[in-house]
Formats: sequence, structure tokens, C-alpha cells
Amino acid sequence: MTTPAASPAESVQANETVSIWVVHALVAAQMACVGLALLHFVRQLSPGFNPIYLPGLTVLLSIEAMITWRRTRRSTDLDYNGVIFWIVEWVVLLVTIRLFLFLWRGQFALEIQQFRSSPVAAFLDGEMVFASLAGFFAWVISGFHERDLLDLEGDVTILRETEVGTVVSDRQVTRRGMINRVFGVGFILVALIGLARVDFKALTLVQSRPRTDVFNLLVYFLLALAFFSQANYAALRGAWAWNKLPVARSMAKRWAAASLVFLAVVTLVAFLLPTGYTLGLLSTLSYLFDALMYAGYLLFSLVLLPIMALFSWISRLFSSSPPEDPAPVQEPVSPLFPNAAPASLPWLDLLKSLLFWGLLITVVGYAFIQYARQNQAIAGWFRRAPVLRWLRGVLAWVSPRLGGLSQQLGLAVKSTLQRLRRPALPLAPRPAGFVSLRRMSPRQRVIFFYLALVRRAGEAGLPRTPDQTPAEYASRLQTSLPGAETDLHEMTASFLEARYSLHDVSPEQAGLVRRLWDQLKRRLRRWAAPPAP
Amino acid sequence: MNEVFLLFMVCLLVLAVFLRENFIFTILYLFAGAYLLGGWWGRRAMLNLSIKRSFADRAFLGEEIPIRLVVTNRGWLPLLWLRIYESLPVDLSVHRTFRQVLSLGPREQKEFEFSLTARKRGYYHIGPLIAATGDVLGLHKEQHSEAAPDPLIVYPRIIPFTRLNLPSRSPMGTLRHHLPIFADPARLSGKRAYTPGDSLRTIDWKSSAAAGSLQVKQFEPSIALETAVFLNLDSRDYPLSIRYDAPELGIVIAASIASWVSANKQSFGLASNGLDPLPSSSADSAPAGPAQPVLPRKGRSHLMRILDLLARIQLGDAAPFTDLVRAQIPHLPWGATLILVTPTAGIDLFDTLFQARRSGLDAILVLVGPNPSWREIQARARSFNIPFYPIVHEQDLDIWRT
Repeated sequence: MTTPAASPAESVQANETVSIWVVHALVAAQMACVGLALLHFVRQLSPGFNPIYLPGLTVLLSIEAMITWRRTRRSTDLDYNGVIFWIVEWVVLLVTIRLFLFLWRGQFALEIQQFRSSPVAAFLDGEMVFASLAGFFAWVISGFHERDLLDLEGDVTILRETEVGTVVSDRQVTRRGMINRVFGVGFILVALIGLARVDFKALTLVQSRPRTDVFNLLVYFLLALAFFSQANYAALRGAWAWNKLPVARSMAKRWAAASLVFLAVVTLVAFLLPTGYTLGLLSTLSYLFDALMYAGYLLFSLVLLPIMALFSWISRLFSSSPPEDPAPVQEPVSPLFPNAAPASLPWLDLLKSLLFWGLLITVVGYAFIQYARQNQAIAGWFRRAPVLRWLRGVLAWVSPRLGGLSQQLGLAVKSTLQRLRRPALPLAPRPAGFVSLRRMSPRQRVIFFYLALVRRAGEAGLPRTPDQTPAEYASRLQTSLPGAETDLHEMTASFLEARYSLHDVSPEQAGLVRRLWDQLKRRLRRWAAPPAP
Repeated sequence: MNEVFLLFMVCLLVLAVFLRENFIFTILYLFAGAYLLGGWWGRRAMLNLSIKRSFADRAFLGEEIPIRLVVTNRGWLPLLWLRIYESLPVDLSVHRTFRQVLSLGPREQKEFEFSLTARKRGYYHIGPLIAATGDVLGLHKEQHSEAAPDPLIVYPRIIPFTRLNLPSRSPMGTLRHHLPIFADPARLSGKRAYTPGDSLRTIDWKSSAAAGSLQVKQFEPSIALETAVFLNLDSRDYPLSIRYDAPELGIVIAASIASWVSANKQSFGLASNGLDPLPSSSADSAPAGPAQPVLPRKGRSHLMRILDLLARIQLGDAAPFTDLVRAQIPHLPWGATLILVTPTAGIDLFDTLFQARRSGLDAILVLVGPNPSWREIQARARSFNIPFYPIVHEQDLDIWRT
């Protein structure tokens, strides 16, 4: 068997390397979003406090955590105590953060003086504590991510391993852990931003505000979904390596590009969809129902109008009194516009509300249905639920009847259309006068030649009795015309198809029947000819 | 995995209701859209996938059979990942499957080539090919698609014979014969003077007018070699020790005889009580059944048909060999030659052959595989005046190769 250009191990390694870089970039970018979200939140809480360096800090600490975890996990020759190592590391990090803040503020003399008077308080001031906590949060999350990312590597090791049990890897479990973590962080961010916005509205009485923080949150979740996609890819890579499947070298790049484009499109669509509504769900449903009733009423009126007009005219004919002016047609009251022209355009609000609720219910409902379809346990529970069982029973009773009705309706319409389309089939051409074969359709020609055969056979002394079907008559003729079985069979079959079926008859078929007729005509002539002396 | 996803969406919904914040709906749309569109993408991309397999469906023993797979994405949606498994017959390939993981861009096509070695005669299936793909987030079940298997026939080995010495009593053929009784009026060999007793029909009037005396035409004697090979593949007649080699040797003999007869432009047929794995009806679900006899005909296409049958045929336990011969004899023309390839020959078979000779047929008995009673069978064949050839190994076929 031929092998691909690069060896399987090389392709696997290349794919894994690309994926590792992509996923680390995603983690760092997510931490930047976390930093931004914290920045917005802090600005909301304390407008004078503007730690603009926060996103950069979280990114740097995230990268540091990932590198440290990778090196300590990977280096087998390091002999260290984990707790002491992390404590020492964090001491160093705290000192670094403090130095950075010292340089950032630029108030050197003041800070040195404060440090001399109260070192601990000066070291751990409010900003330092906040920055450290934010950095620690990003560091811890990134560290846990890195720990899991290391479990998602090692494709080449798995690929090369030939003995069962020497390599243990459960990437699905690791993937689930990572996703739970990302969701957890996301949920915290959503809650923080939501609370901040509520507080903002309460303080300022302004309902709308710039959506930059929302955009940041969207970017976080876009990156989170890209992260999930890479985690899925890592789990698949592991499975392929277990099964020793050759993988295309460009897989990782294509995966990263396609998933980012897909998620960007989904994010854009999500950003543009309506999120606000003027009318509540029940009000919207009520308006929708009223609109449907109104439409039905209009339709009914249109259908009845000619009948009512006819009755009115007939009654006028028989009536002696002069016709009264017809009562003014009462227009139905629109439930949508019960009052005079409103100041704004309520139909726009209704449309927006309809769109919003419709989308929301469709999207969420369909997602749950898809989930239920893929999970037999839940699907089974739904099947067993009493109300739903009753509904299914009603549906099972109604649907065959409706289905049968619609089928019969469809058949009736189809047959009517066919009847209207089908040209009248003359049983025979005009009895007297010149018969023009060229003007006949192929179907008519087939019937003509068959009837000519019957007539000629009758003249030759082989008449067809009224009770004989075409097949029986063909059998009768075969006994008198040996050697003509095939021709008779073909001709009879063609006649039956042309006469009794709706199949198209091609000119070639009509030509064949004509040739058969010529041959049979000669046989009949020979048969009928008196024997030579 | 799905549970976490949907739980998160529910929590977002609750948060939205509690906080009355519109942006949470945006996030909800994002997750719901990624879930639904991701699943739709996977299903749609699978529908646009087309896989074609091309290879020569007939091969002779020892040949390399190159197989080409063309995987095409006919749609505009890329196939993020696609795993293909092609099942291969274990007798022809070192590996049981051809496997690959690839990704296809919009309207992209990829080709794969691999080859099999026709190591063993038989009827094989290449495939089925199973393709699987999934969504970008891994939230939906994998989508599968299957391409039906294609048959491959590997013909049995054909040994080139130079002469077979098959007896025949069929006149008017294309093979020269020494007995003048088989004079063929289509084969003029010369003229001679008329002698009383010559048939008036053989007088050549033109030559007679030119010579001034009556001349008669002389014709070459010829025979037609209508041959029917009867191959015994009844598993009950083969002892366990020779149940693999002897039937294969028998099939090689039958194929080689058919090839030799065809090369000499004679008609030949085949009848066997083996099992044909290819159903005779068009329904794929029809089970395998006894091999259908092939009546004698001429031509290369007829030879290929017989080789197809010999490639597929296997040991069976349908009808006893003697019953098969008895049933087919009435369908054979007068003067045809029966070649019986069997591991054993009982007295009932010889009785049948004797009756066949009385009906105008000739018979040859080829005993295939080692048989401890072969001397007894040889003596019986001699007493019935039936040519007898014991073939234990392929080397024994040298009698027809020199």
C-alpha cells in the first residue's frame, strides 16, 4: 500500500505543534478579555480608579503561568517541592507587580517615604491588592488550562505506542474540565458586567450605554468557543493517534482558520439580532392571535361577498319597494389599531417583539429538541410523560386521517390535471376518406396498425371474436402463423401500452410497430394464398 | 458535553430574566447559533460529499490491482475533518483497511491510490467505504456515510497446454482429423477422377468440362470439439487433508482446459456442483446457490464468463457429482466430449459415463488430488475404455504441456 508524502508521525507532530500555539494564544487572549472586563467593572465601582494596565498584566501573568507549568511538568530532572516553588514564584511576582506600579505611578519620592514609614501598608496598598488578585486569578486559571493542555498533547507518543496499556490518556474528560472552567469564568464575567450595568442605570438613570463592555464579553465567548473547538480537535487527534490513522498535514491550520471564520460569522449574527422587546411574551402572542383572526375574517368576507351580492340582486328583482341604500359596510375593527392614529409606529414595535420572541423560542426550543434527540434517556422520559403521551395519541389518531385526506386530495388534483392535459385518444382514425399517417401521433399510429392487423387477419379467415382479448387473439393467430410469435407478441404489447396506459409512445416504437405490421401482412398474405398446384 | 452547554444557556436565561439585561440575549444567541449552525454545517457538508472508487474489476493471479479513490466536496461548505475507512479483502492485502483523515475545502477534491496483489483466486468485495465527520465543537453525533462495495474477481491460474488429445465424434468442425468418415464439404482438399460409386453431388462440373472427364471433389476430414468440463466440488468427496489444495488444482485444470479449447476456437461449457457466491438474481439479498451450468458455446466472451464462474466457485454440498453429470448429459450435443475433473469416481459414475458413450458422447476422467484407490479407478476406466489421467500435483499437468 502506498504511503503519503510525509510520514504519519511527522504529520501528527506538525498538526499538534500548530494546535498548541493556537490554543495558547486563545488562552492568553481570553485572559486579556478577563482583564478588560475587570477594568470596566472597577471603573464602574470607582470612577477615579483607572488601572488601564490590567489587561496587559493578566496576559503576561497568563503566559508566565503557562510557561512555568509546562516547564515544571515536562522537566523530569527537576527535584522540587511544589508548594514552596509556587510560594517563591508568587513572591517574585508580587515584587515585580509592585515595582511595576511604582514605575507606573511615577511618584517615587512619596512612595519611598510611605515605604519607610509603613512598609507593609505601602507594599500592599489597594491598587496593589486589586492588581495582584486580578493577576492571581488569571494566573491560576491559565495554570489549570496549561495542566489540561499538557494532557491533550503527546500524539506522537500514542501513535508510536504498540502495546496496550502503556499509554493512558482520556482527552474527553480533560476537555470537559476545560470547558467547565471556561464557562465558569464566563459566567462570572457576565454576572459582573450585568451587575455593573444595573448599578449604572440606577445611578445615572440612563437606560442605554455604549456596548464596548458587551463587545468585550462577546469576544471572550468567541475565543471560548474557538477554545472549545481546539479542545475538540485535540480529543479527535488523540483518537486518531490511538487508531494509527494517517492525518493530513494541513489539518490543524485549516481547522483553526475554518473554526474562527465560522465563529466570527455566528458572533456577527448574534450581535445583530434583536435583544430588546417592547411587548411581553403574552402580549405579543395576543397581538399575533388577533392579527390571525383579522386575516381570517377578511378572507371569509371576500369569499362571501359575491354570494351576498347575488342574493341582494335577486331580492331586489322580487321586491316592489324601491331599493334601499345599502347599509354601509362595517369595516372590522382592527385589533392592532383600536384607537386613533398613534403617535409612534406600533407595528414596528410589534414586529421587533415578534422577531425577538420568535427567535428566542425557536433557537432555545430547537436546541433543546436537538439535545433530546441525541440523548435517549431524556427522549425516553419525554415519551413516558403522561401529558405528552396523551398528545401523541391524539396526534396518532388525527394524522392518518389528515394524511389520507391530503393524499386523496393530491391524487384528485393530479388526476384532474392529467385529464385536462391528456389529449383525447381516438379509438380509430376517421372511418372513411384519406388517412394521413403523418398527422397521427405515435400512439394513434400504433393503434392504427394493430387494428389494421385485426382487419386483415379477419379478411384472411382469422377473425377476432368479440370475447377475445388482444392477448388471446394473439395466441389464436400464433397457432395459424407459426414463426410469427415474436412479432405478434411485440405488436400486441405495444398496442396495449398505447391504448390503455399513460406512458409516452415514442416515434421509434411506432416505427417498430409499422415494420412488424409489414411482416405480419406478408405472412397473412402467404397464409391466405391458395396452395400452388 | 451537551449538558454543560445547555446548562450554561439556561443559566444565561435565568440571569437575563433576573438582571433584565439585553446583552445576555446576545450571548445566548451566540451559543445557540454555534450549537445549531455547527450541527447543520456537519450534516450539510456530509450530504455534499462524493466518493468514487475506480479499479479494474477483473485480474489474473499475481497481478497488481491499483485502486483509486476520489473524494470530492461538491458544496461550498468546507469539511472540517473527514475520516474514511475502506475495507479490503484480507486475502489480497497486508492491511485490512485503507484509512485516512483529511479535510476538504469548498469544492475541493483529493485522490488516493493504493494497490492490492491478486494473490488468490476468488470473488472479493472492495469496500464498503465508511466516511465520518463531525461538527466543529464536538457537540453533535458524528455523521456517517457509506459507499457500497464493488466486486473484484481474481481469475484462477491458467496453465498453457500445447495438446490435449481429446477424442471427439462431432463432424464438420474446424479441427483436422485423420478419419475420412468426417469429411467436411466446406474444406476442399483436391480433385480426382470419378470412380463408380462416387456420389453425384461431389462431381465438380467445371473441372470435368475442362478435363474432358468426370472429376470429383475431395474433402478434408474435420471434427468439431464440443467440450463440456464437469468439475466436482462436492465437499463430501474431498477428504479433509486435501480439502484446500485438490479443489484449487481442479479449478486450475478446468480453467486451463477451457482456455485451450477456446484458443482452438471450439465450443466448451462448464458444469459444477460447487457454490457460487454471486446470486443469480439481481437482488443483493439473494443467498449464494449452486453454480449454474454453462452450456457449450464458442468465443472469448464465453471463456471470460466461464473464468468468472471458476474464479468465484467454492466447495459446496449441493448435488452429488453423478447426479449432476446425469442431469446435464441430455443437454449436450451428439459427439461432445465430457471431461470429468473429480477426486473420486465410483461405479455409479462409470455407469453414467457408459450410458453417455452409448448416447454418442466421449468421456475423459481426470482424477485430481491423491486417492488411495486410484489404481482401482484406473483399472475400471480401462475396462470402460475411458481415458484416465491422475493429477496429484501441478507438475503432473506436464503431460499436456509437452
